[in-house]
Amino acid sequence: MKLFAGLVTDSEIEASEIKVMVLLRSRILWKIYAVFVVVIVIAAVIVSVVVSGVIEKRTLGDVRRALDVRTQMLSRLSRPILESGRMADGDELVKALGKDTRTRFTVITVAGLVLADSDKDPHSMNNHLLRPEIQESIYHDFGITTRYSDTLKTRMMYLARSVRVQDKLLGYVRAALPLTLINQRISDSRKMIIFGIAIITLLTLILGFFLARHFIKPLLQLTGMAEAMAAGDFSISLKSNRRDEIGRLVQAFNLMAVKSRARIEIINTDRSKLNAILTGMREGVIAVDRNDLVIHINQAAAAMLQIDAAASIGKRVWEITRLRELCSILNDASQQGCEIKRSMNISYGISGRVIEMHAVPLSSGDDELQAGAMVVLFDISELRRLETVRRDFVSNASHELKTPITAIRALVETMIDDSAQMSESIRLSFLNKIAKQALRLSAIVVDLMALSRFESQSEPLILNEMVDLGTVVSDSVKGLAPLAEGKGITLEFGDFAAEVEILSDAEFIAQAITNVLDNAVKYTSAGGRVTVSLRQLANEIVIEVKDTGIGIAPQDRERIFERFYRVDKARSRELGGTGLGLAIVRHIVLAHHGRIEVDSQPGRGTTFRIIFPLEKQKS
Amino acid sequence: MPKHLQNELQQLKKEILQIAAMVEAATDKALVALTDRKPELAQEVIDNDYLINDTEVRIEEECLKIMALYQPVAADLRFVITVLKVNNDLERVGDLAVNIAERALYLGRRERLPFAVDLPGMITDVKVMLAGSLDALTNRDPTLARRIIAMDDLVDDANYNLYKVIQREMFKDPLILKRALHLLSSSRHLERIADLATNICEDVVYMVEGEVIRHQPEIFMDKE
Repeated sequence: MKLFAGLVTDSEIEASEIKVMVLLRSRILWKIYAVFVVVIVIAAVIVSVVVSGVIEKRTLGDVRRALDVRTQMLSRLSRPILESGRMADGDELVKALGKDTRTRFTVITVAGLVLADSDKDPHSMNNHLLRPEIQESIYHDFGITTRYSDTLKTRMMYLARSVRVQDKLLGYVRAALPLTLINQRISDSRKMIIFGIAIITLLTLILGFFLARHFIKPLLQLTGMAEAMAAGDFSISLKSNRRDEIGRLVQAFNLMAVKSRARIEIINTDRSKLNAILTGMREGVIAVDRNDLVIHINQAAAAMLQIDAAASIGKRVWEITRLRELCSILNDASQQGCEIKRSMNISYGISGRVIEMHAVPLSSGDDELQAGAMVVLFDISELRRLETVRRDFVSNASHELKTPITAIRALVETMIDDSAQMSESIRLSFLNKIAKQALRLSAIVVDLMALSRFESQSEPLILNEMVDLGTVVSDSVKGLAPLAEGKGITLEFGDFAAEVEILSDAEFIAQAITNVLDNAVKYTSAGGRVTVSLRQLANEIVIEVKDTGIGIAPQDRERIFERFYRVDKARSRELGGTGLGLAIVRHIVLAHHGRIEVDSQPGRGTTFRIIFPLEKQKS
Repeated sequence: MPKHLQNELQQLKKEILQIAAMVEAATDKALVALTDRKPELAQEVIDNDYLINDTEVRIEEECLKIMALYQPVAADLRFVITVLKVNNDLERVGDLAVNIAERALYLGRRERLPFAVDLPGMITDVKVMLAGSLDALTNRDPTLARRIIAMDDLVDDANYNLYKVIQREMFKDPLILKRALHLLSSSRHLERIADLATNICEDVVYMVEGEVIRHQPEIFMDKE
């Protein structure tokens, strides 16, 4: 095997050394060998049959000619013997001739009596007249037979010739040669043929090996390349400078690899582009095929439905979400084959979300059957919320402003109508009421103006003085103490850090704290308790106002900072609020880069925490 | 033949998840109607209950058909049996949603009760349990199912606390009696929904593991 491997000089395919063992296992090699063997065997049989036929024919001709010459010579020599008719006369001569020429000679009389024989004693021989060659020579001058000689125990060719002197038959002479020569020649030639075939076979096997190697090597390399391509590796390129079909196949493969790689790169780029676009979208996108299996779902959609995007692909859409609206819009879109627009409400936890869905059927080009559907989800909860806030604000503002105006109008109209008989005391009480409503009106307008000032970006709050929060908080508490006392509420201090200063505006910060405290006192019933704390933490200042009031329901917590939003409208107005207090607080706190936290348990009480960061203050 | 069975089971799964979605939506609506005082939403739940009932009947017939035609075994049989039981439980949850909607209808048209109770907290827990049990059913997730089962005590406690608060308030002011009783029964219904969610979870564990974990809370706790 090493020998063959060493003989490999095929330099055109160097990519991978092919082992001889691999080649020996190759089916192509054995097919080539099988064909060679069949061809060689048939050729050998034909050649040997033809050759032995020719050799036999030639050898028989040679023997016949030799016998012919010998009998003609013997017929001359045997004339005196035949004329004498005595056995002893010629027997010695014939025996000497036979010995010299390695031929059997026999001299026979007309009657068939053997007068002399080169190999045997003529006395012991029987009558030869009925021998076929003798019979034939009677009529045709000579006769030939090939037969088995009982005397010499071998196959012989006999040639008999009649001896005539002037048409008078004297007797016969016969010469015979053994045919062993023929067999020998045939077997010699067979040996030659077998030897030749053996050499040819060896040569063809070697030739076949190289021939197979020549074809198998590129085939194996192509197979390896195709397998690599199937596994996704398109970087392999085969070298070949052959000009035959295999060379063209290799070139076609190389071309295919290059084109496939280019095409796959295009597809990959397209896909990553598409993925980037879909992932970057704020709108949710879900695509399903015709069996409701999810083909694609982007991050936004997964976040909206609160599911895992990666785990959802390949599942049925009704397995990943129980939102029937979503399943049915996809189903309807693919069934009806037209765009559908719907909205749905999702209630996860407490805050409901409103999602607008836009579904379109997907069609796979020429296919008549719909290939599924795709839905785009828009989260319009924020939009809806802002819309509600705006609408509420307009209606609330007009309502809030209208109430005192209506009251003033009614009072004034009454006073005008009844000016004649109205007593002084009633007039005074009316005027007091008018004054009170006017104050309320102005309070609302002042609050609205303050708010609009905070909200307009052109005039931000200017925080340019260091304010001692302790003083501000105690002042606010002092200001509200009469009101609390009147309602029977305990207004007290909790933890109270001294000398806490922040960069602020004294008026604004006082307003914010007063507003929060005012709310706490308002919504706490008699016997309740309002605790005010001021704490300085590592990097925060916390003002905490804790009451034991009615509390705020979870769904209202977000909205209490909206303008004019009231949890319980009747009660709030009765308590004299403008509905703008917390909105103002929020704006002031945001201007300080702070935040407000609300903890509340309905029925138990509420804790407001205003938190100012210290770092922002220092910088 | 097995191919047909698989198709039927797939269809059955789709339908059970469909009724689950309907029941969950009805429950959510009824609870929103109760907390946000929206009688029209409550009316919607009551009016649409027949859809849930029809679906329940259809699913039951489907289960019986599958059992008669295909004689499923092992996991397939457990699935069909589970669907049959869960189907029943879900329909009951649907009925409870209707009951809650009726309470919401009554309460929403009357004055607010003068005291506040922590109903939202209980509602959140019940919603999480119901959603969790249905997720466990969808994803064949016995771990989640076991976690949900453990939550049942929370809801039971919340129900008991509510009961005490309402009782106290009723002593104070007999005028609120009717409204308070309606609120009380809403709380009872919620607690029942949590129980049914627990049942569904137990059925899910049975479906996946073939193990019956009902009536043996101690063993279950040990496992946790």
